[in-house]
Amino acid sequence: MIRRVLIAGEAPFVDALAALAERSGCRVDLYSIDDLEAAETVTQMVQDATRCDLFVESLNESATTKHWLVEGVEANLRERVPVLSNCLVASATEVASWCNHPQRVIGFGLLPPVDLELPGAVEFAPALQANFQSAALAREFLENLGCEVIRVPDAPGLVRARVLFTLINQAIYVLDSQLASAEIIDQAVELSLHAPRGPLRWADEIGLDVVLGVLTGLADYYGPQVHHPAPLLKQKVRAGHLGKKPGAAFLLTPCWNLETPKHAQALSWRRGPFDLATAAPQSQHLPAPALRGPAAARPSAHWGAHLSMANLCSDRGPAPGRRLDARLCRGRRADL
Amino acid sequence: MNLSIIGAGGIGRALAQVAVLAGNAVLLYDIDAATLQTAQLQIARGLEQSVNDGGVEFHKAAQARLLLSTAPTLEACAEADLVIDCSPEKLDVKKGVLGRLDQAADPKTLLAVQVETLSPSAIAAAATRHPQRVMGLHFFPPIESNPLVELIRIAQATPTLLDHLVDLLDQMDKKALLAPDQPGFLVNRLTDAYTAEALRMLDEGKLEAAALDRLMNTLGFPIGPFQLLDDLGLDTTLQAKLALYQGTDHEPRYRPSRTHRQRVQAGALGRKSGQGFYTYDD
Repeated sequence: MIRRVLIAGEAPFVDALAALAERSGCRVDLYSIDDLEAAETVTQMVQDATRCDLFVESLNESATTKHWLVEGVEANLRERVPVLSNCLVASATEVASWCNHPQRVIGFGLLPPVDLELPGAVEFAPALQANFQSAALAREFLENLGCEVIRVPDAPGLVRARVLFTLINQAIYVLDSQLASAEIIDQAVELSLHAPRGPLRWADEIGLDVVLGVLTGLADYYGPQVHHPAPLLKQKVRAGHLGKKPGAAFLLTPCWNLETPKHAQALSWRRGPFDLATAAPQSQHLPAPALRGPAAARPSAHWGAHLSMANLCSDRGPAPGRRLDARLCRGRRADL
Repeated sequence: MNLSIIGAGGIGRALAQVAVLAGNAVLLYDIDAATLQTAQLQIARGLEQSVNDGGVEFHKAAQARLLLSTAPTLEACAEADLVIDCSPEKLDVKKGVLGRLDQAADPKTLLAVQVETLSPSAIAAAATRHPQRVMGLHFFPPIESNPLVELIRIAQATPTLLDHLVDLLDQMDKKALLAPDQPGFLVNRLTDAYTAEALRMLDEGKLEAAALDRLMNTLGFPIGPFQLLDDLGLDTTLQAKLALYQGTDHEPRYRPSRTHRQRVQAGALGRKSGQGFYTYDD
């Protein structure tokens, strides 16, 4: 029986997971990667790790940060506690290879935006090392969230993310080669594939750092020829334009509307919903998107102090953990 | 608007039906008289069908039927405000048709070429004296109900021509997207990734087509990649992918899939042949 869940990773993935888990009746300890830069929060998370019945991780900006998080938390979990890893940047098998108890690692695949009322399907891929017991527990947990669990082969990105991120990458290549504006690209895909949203808007919602992380993971796994991330995506992430809020990185970032007279010229005579000319002036006055550079690789050695700290805590018995409200997840830095 | 359509094959016929329903007088021509006659009958049946389905009122369909006429020669089509060439997708045929139209038509008459993979710029430059009045159009099946159409702008095209075409397409409930004259234009270049990645997974043998389609459905794509390929036709899509691969100097991410090629060679062309990635009974 899973009563207490530790969820760690990045928005908007963890917010949705936490809300779903809370609704299913679990007690949720939620940690966003932004908060884990403070040492005391990491200590807190480690304490929570010793008490939880399940650890859910969704950190996909790079394999290095995922490694850091999983390795550190897993070392503090009780022995039979399953680890659920959102396999976007690395396969469940690879994640398991970082763990002391690889048999408890189960991969899953969930992509934002998640409809909390109807969370839909979740991909399910136990690591090669996983045992039946962990898989059964993990499956039960996902089913309790209200998700339909679909078994897929284990690989970075699993199935849906692999297709979606390849489509997003292609859209960024097309944008980079200045063949069309971001709005036109999104519209072309929405109309031709009946996609629920355009690939660039989707990328903004997921976060461009995650998009880059996943494509790098795909390129590592399948070879660089097909999944090589578009140069523009790398530049955007380096510039700290990470999206997350729809419109921040691609659709409304001023450079695309102001510095491409080629599009403005070609579209000046277009009317109706495709008119770029009316969209351009607004974007000039937009507030700059929130800046956050790619997280630096965090050395595993950093965990040393916390690992011993955790042992200390477990000896003393459970300390009262700080419970984070899923609804207050954004801007919770101040609360801590 | 007076509209001429050259070629009464699948695309030309469907386009004529949409155009007459939007209230345009359409002159339809085909080099083969039998095809032309069949097309006329099929359009009449199509209009009848749309009345029966409840989408169109009876008097509107009757009016539309009166707006359709056929032309005895290609040159007779040159009288219209806009001529749309829907002849078969072969460079020589397209060049021939456009050259003859260019000779016969007033220099102000607008000429549009429906293309799948050919470059409208190349056709216009080779066949006409006034390439500035030529424009590429790329419709997507089923033309009767799919609102998407690509407007392929050739380098010399004048903005008035574009405005004119956009008006006409608006009136036919089509959403026009301006696309560059590049391999795959815009839509094929973008959507190639969706089907190509799915086909790569099929090549790897990890998943079955139906399972993958189902997974993409759960992500919010109502049409899975293999269903899409079946609907569009495996031969047409393979042709488009080959053109993209060759046009981009063999860029690895556009390399056509092995499974895709094998299916086409085996005659499994999708919904139209009754067998593609799925089997169709009707």
